[in-house]
Amino acid sequence: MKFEFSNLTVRFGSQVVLDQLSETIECKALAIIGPSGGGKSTLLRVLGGLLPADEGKFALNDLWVENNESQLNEYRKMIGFVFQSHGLFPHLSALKNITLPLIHTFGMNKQEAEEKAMNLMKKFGLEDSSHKFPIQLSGGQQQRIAIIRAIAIEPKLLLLDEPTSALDPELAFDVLEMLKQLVESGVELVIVTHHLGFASNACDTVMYMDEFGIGEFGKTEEILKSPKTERLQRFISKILSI
Amino acid sequence: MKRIFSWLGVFLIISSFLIISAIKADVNFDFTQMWAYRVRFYQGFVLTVQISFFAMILSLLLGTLVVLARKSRWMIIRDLASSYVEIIRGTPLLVQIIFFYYIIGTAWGLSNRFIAGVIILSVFEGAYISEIIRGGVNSIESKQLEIARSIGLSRLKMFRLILLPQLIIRIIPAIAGQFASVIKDSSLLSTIAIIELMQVTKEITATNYSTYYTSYIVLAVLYLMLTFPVSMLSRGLERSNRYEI
Repeated sequence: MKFEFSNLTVRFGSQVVLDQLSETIECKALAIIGPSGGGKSTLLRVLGGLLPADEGKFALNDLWVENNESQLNEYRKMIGFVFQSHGLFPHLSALKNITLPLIHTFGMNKQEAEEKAMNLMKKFGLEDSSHKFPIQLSGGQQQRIAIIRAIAIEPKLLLLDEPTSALDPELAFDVLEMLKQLVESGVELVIVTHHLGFASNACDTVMYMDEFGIGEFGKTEEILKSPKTERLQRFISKILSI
Repeated sequence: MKRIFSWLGVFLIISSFLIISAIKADVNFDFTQMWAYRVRFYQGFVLTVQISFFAMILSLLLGTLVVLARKSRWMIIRDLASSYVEIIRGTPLLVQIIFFYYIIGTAWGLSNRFIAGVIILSVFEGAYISEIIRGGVNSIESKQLEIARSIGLSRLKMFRLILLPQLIIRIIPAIAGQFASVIKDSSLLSTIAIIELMQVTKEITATNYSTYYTSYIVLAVLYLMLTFPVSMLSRGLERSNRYEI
């Protein structure tokens, strides 16, 4: 994937969350790390076409995305987005959560969509959960179903906003293992995460963001093993000390 | 089986309390006289059903429109809608009936009591229903709409597939309660001489005072016959659509 940002600016009231971000990123799997309040999730929502930037623009694989709703909606169809938690529709079973976009956004017929959803659920050991409602699933199962829903549409890119932050370590491990498998099978993704282990094992590129913008950005090994800025050094040592 | 015994127990407790009260108050019930009024009760019953039925549909439509109006981009529409809700909820139905029928109805040439009754009742209940719907809409987290956008659903599909099914399940119990109120509140339309159940009872007791208490008991049972199925139906719907444990 190739991302280009040009003067990307997002404000919430008087607070500037992203300040004239300009960067070009080419990678397979990008991990965005950094302290809370640094604009990581905001950037991900902009990249997902969910939050229009106040200024500037961005491009995915040379396709520049404008701030108009019909173009954004078309763009969103190319993206799989996984939220931090509660990302499933509570009134639909796991199976229906997965088939909903296939049927209603992509016009697939019901039988075909269910077959595809069941195959994916089997692949990740979730076939027994197909008729359960989100409330009947553990947090980890919910996140894995949300990931299946996002990849079922065969997106050009998978975006994940701290998908394990609401999970205990064991459940987080299952989700991260699933994501690792996906990366190995060639799925391209951008993940906001605090799991440096996952970033270093599964992502080829890391971006560090804090309240001052993009601190460091580059190949995972370089960034995590020999951070140049004091901000990133402090952040890494804090995370590792937990 | 346990359930049947429990209901039987409840029935015995309530009926014995009423019977003991009647004996202590020295009230004599003679239900045999009621048979003579069966046709009039039937006619009143049918009219109450008709008024309530149309008022339920109209109030639901009105309530929905008011919710949309409160989300309008024009301030005057929003203010108009919220003023309507406040005025209707802040004044007694009896006052509204008199005001609408004798002043507004007369001014605009609305002399058909049935139509006037349905409109007045709908306007009254619509305000409450709009608040129920508004509460339901607000209870659905905005995040769900963001998830719906993230999977590329159009606004119409978002409404039909995400918002509406959840909204219906959440508001059914309250709406059913309000529908039961529609049925009971229709009794106040007797004020403008609509010959519904309450008016029938008033007329019967006016001509034959000895039937006073028994007529009102028959009236209560007839209202229960209407409101009880509404509440049963709502429970059934609530159960069959439940996705939250």
